[in-house]
This record gives sequence, structure tokens and C-alpha cells, in this order.
Amino acid sequence: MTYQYSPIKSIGKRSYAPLTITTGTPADSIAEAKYIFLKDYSETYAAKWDLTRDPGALNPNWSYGGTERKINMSFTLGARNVAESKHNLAYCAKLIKKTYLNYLEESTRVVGTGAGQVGIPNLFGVNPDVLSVNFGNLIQDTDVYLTKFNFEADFEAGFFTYDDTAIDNWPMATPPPAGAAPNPWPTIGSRGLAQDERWNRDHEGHDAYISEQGYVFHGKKGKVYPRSINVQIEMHAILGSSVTGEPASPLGFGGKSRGGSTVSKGWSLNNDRDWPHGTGPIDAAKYCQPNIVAPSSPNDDSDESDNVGERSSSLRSSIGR
Amino acid sequence: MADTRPPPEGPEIREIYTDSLNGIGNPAMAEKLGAILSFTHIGTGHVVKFPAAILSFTDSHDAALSKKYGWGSAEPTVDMTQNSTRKISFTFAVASASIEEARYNAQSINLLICMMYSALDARNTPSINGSRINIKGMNFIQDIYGEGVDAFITTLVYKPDLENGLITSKRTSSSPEMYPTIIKFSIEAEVLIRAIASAAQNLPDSYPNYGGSGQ
Repeated sequence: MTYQYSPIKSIGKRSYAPLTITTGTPADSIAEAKYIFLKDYSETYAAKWDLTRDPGALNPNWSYGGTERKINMSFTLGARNVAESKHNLAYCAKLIKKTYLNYLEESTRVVGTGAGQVGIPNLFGVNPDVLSVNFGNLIQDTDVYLTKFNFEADFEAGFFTYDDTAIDNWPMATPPPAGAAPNPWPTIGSRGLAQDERWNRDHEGHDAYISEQGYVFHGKKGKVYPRSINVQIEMHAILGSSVTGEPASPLGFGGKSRGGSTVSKGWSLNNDRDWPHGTGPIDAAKYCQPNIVAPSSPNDDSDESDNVGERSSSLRSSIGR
Repeated sequence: MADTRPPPEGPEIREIYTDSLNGIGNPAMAEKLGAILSFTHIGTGHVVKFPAAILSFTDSHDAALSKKYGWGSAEPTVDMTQNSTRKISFTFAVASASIEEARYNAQSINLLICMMYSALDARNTPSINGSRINIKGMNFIQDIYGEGVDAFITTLVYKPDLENGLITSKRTSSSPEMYPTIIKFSIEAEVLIRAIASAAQNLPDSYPNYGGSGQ
């Protein structure tokens, strides 16, 4: 998990789900789990109906063309110190790239007209990366394309700024830890540089040389780090899950994964899991329960409701989450 | 030990949550008043019901005219009414007062969302009924016979009201649970009009059936 101010992290661990976005394989996590301040959330299900009317007809002729799912989220990334702000910026940068194609081909494009035409180098892309998103029971290992990312620095919240105030006693503010060299610090410097140095020696939050709340200036002249960033993302969900291995088969009732039975009213994923939102330790709804009866493990001595409750977590742990 | 649960062949009928607050909660009040919003998936017969906490309702009837423009005429000549369409849009809220109610409501909401998809045949081809849903909601959303209206829901928006907070579990499992206390749904649909032409070749007096005087 990426660095986050420890009180927020510990509250999150107790009660909330982190937002986890990966490229599908656990080893290639592009944006690690992060507790966010959710401001807005919505899911839109749009069914494509082609409704045409014969002249004068009371009711239309209809044709169904599938349903698409979009997820919109707005959240705030707050920063309590310079390090967290830098992590937030890196987090946004990683995700913003995913709204673009993979530009693997170099060619030229022509600009101008007539004799003034010139070819200038240009990049050409192919499909953007598929991301897998998990956000507690609201988004369960769903594969998506990231179709929008709005980055907005909250100017009212302010910034962590460069500070070149000369200080000569900063090494004395906190004595070196036991066993350290008598004076591992430079004897003079700027407050910003000093705080950078202390934080780097602390390896993020050990609190020996500088507290998490104390790292509020930095030594990089010309840079500002926002205390708060407002993010809005829009995702287009696609079929299948690269995390759970769920096949990209159509969503609906019945179908092939229900044994091709035309009378099955069961949900097509047939994985004993509520969809789209998880419901904790209770049994999956009847239509989501599997119609292929499989023996459970002989070592499984837990009761059924607990067993069902751990469905998604055991799945995630098996792939290293 | 084998899983002995029966295969899910029959339609799911999800009633509103009835265990809340000893009969004084939102569902109990809805039950008492008969204020129930019901959705039936035509392709499977699955039914899900919610307390009809309707926040907004619009019923729009639009006539598309076939017009002819001619040189020298001040305005177009209307040949005939090409078609009329009826579109409804409404917003309703689903509230939960306990983790148990939130989990129950989450499953009901899941079923409503699943209804936005079609029944599939053995080749995964969508049924001709697609995601057609019959909606019944008191006297606003009903046909001339007092039954629900068949609707082509084009958009369903699931939007938690985050200002009212989330219900979270005590983290009994490693999978965190977060349930919005209030979830708002916005639905836009074009509806089929169920009517038999009368001798006067007009829609019956009971259309649209809002339950007004004489209807």
C-alpha cells in the first residue's frame, strides 16, 4: 500500500475499503490501495434499445442491443505532509496515463496545404490498458477502461511550499537515535532541506527524526505540493475480470455458463457471488447461487454463511491481495 | 459435505424488508400504505419490490408530427401525427437503518440492476424481450387495468447519497462492507401502451390511469 498518513490508514483499516486499481496482474499494480475521501459516486446502466415506429403505430418495434455500465467517482486525496502530497501526485499521474492509448508506433502526420504541406512526427496508439478496480463491496474486481480523469488542485486548502529559512540548530531539535553517529547531520542548512533529509532518513513515518505532522516544508525551490486534490474519474466497465479469472461472457440470466439451459433464471456469472455489489457474509441471492452442485472441501468445517462471506476475500488472497 | 442448495430455476420474488424497527420504519409504513414500487423482469419473471419513496416523477407524452413545407405557404401543413410516445422518468430512494436491512436492500438493488440485462439462450443470445421490465408504482405508474406498465428502461442511475453516510460492518470478514444509508435511483423509460382500440378508435377514458375522478 502506498504511503498515507497513519491515522487515516488505521481508521481505514478498521472500517473502510481502500480503492485498489491494478492492471490486472498483482505484480503490476499501477496505483496501489489507497483510502480515499469519497465525495460522489454513481453507476449508470444504459440499455441500448432501438425503438422504431411504423407510421401511426401506437407502440414501437423494439430491438435490444445490450447494456453498458459506467462508474463515476469523485474523491479527495488529502495530504498531511510533503511526502503524502508527493505520493498523491504520483498516484494521479499513474492513473492519468491510463486514459491514453498505448502509443507504440511512430509515424508522421501532414499539416498545411498545397506546397506548404509538411510531415511532422507523430505517435499512434492502440488500445488503452484494461484496469481492474476493487472498492469494497461497491466495486468487486471489475475490469474497466478509464475514460476520464479530472485533476483539480484545491487552492483553498493551500500548498506545502519551499522554505529556505536558514537554521543552524535543527539537528538538535531531536537527538539522534541511540547507536547513531554522534552528529550525522549537517550543521547548517535550510528548513526545507532539513525536513527532506530527516524524512528520508526516517523511511517514511518512523517518527524518530521528524514526525508525520512535522514534514511541512521542503527544499525543492520552485515546487509546490497541494494539501488537497479533488479527483473525478469515469470508468467504463467491460465483461470479465482479469483478477478473478471471470470469463468475458455476456451478462444476463441463464445462458451458456448456466449449462445452456434456456429455462435457467440464474445469473449468468454462476459464481455464487452477488453482482454487482457484494453483500458481506450472507448467502448470495437465490438467482446468483450456482446450479452446478459441487462438493465442498472435506476440511471445511465452517458454517455455510461464514463460508460464503469469505468468498471474495479468499479469492483475493489467493491472488496476493 | 455437498452443497445441497437447489438450482435456481424459479423466479426470485423479493419483497420489501419487513424486519425493521418493529413496524415503524420506512418499509413498514410503505406496507401499511400500500406504497410499493414493483419491478418485474419480463424475460424471467423475477420480481423486486421497494418502498415507494418516490422523490420525483415525470410522465411525458410527445407527438411527432409529419409536416410538409411548401413554397409560399406561411407555415407547414401537418399531414398526420406520425407517432406519439410516452416516456416516464422518476427518482426514488432506498434507505437502510441497520446492517441487516442494508444487506437485504443491497441484494434487492442488485436484482434491479441485473434486470437491466436480458435473459440469454444457450448461445448467449439475448432474448427478444431484452431488459424489458414491468413497473408498477401506486397510481402514477400503472396501465389502464391497474397493472404495471411495460417499460424499456434506457437509463438506470445508482447514486448513493453520501451526505447521509455509510453503514459499515465490524469487519467480521476480510472483505470490507460499505452500504450507503440512502441510495437514490433515477430511471428513464419509454413505455408500451396497453390498450384495445374502441369503436371510436381512441384510447380509453382510463388512459393514462392516474386514478383521477371517474377513472
